[in-house]
Amino acid sequence: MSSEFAVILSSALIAMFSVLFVRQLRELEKRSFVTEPNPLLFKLIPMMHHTYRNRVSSFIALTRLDNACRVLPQQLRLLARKLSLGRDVEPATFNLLFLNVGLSDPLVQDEWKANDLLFREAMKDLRKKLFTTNVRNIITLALTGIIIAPVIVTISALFHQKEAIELLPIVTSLFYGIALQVIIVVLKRYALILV
Amino acid sequence: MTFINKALPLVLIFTSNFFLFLLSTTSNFFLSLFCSLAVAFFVYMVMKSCIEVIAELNNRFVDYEVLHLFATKSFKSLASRRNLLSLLEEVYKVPNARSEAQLKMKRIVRGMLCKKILKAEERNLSSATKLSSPLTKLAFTLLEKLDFIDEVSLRALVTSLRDLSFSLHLNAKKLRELIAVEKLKYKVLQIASSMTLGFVIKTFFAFARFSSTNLVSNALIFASFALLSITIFTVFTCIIQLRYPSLKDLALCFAIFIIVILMPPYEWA
Repeated sequence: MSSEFAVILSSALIAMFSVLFVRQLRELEKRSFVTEPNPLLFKLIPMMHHTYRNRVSSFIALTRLDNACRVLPQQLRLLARKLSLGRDVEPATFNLLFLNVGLSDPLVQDEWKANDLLFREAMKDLRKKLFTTNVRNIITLALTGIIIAPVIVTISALFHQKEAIELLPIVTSLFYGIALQVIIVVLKRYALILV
Repeated sequence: MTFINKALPLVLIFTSNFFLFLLSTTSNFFLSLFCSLAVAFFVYMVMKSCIEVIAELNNRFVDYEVLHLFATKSFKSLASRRNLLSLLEEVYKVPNARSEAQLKMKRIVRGMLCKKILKAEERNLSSATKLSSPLTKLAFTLLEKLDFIDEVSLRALVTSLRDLSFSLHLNAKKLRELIAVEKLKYKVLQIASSMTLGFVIKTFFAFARFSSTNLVSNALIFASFALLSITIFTVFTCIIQLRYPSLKDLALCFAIFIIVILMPPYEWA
């Protein structure tokens, strides 16, 4: 492989990794930081219970708040619509968490019982997600890897200079790409505890 | 504009290192320059997004603190104030605005009071009052939209808000403490890594001087590769630790690397 080709390839790889990273970051921002249902949001449910007393209206009141907040999980919106407007929500769009807690037809079931089940399920989910996050281990692995890798690469490249020098631009771009991916992994962990 | 200012020096350092590295690899000036400029644009994109995310996450932490402060103060005032409006007034009368979160909370409560009493939006609402966390935003919107709330429900609402904000604040605090503890450890590791790289390159230079001339150019390639690696790991370590990539850290690592190479004994090996 000629050195010119390696240089062009490494630049192309850096460009590709950068574009990929920016797209992943936008996706992460859109999903995890803003719209994706975060388990801590379910803590809002008991708060609304206390505020409005009436359990059905607590969901409905939540959906009437500022839309710009975009904080409500899609399932909660659907449940509120179903409770307030009747049976106009398609069953196909009404899935995930609520099916697991026995809310296949909330208008028929006892609302109190349904809400208790929902809350219990949400809390279970919350505990599972929050306490298995393991941020410390991920940070340790990521940071140590990023910092130590160049030393190992340099030492091993010195032993095979002829081959290594041609490949060094590509190794640099790969190192850059791996560092970016590691950042995404750590940020995803951070996103789990943010609402 | 702030993001551009913060990203620019880092991009310049990265590009100059990359250019140096490519030039030592190919010795084709125009190709190296063209590739470096193209890479500069993409690295700028990455840095800008990273700095935006760091700003967003740090704003979230301040927002949790704002909610926590508000909920704690409201809970304390519940004994004396029994309706939402007077509770907000009491919270607004917090004497010292020492921290950023406290100032922000006061501004938000003032805005809410304006809306509730005067039925008007506050004119001097600055961008510093803008909430970043959707949950904090939702909690304050909820309070803003509540026209009437009885005493029992108000107590329940404030207690729930306090519980909620406590767990959020605790999570954010734990994460910040964890990062602060790890920071020193990784700073030492960064310096050690720069020293090792410097030592390896110095040894290689020493061997190169006693052998063929081709090895000297190889040593230059390895030195520029090491400089580029130091830039990458210093910048990305800062981002993982939710700090703006610091030029001071970068300068320290570069200085140690260069000092180890230039340090006597020159006739070593």
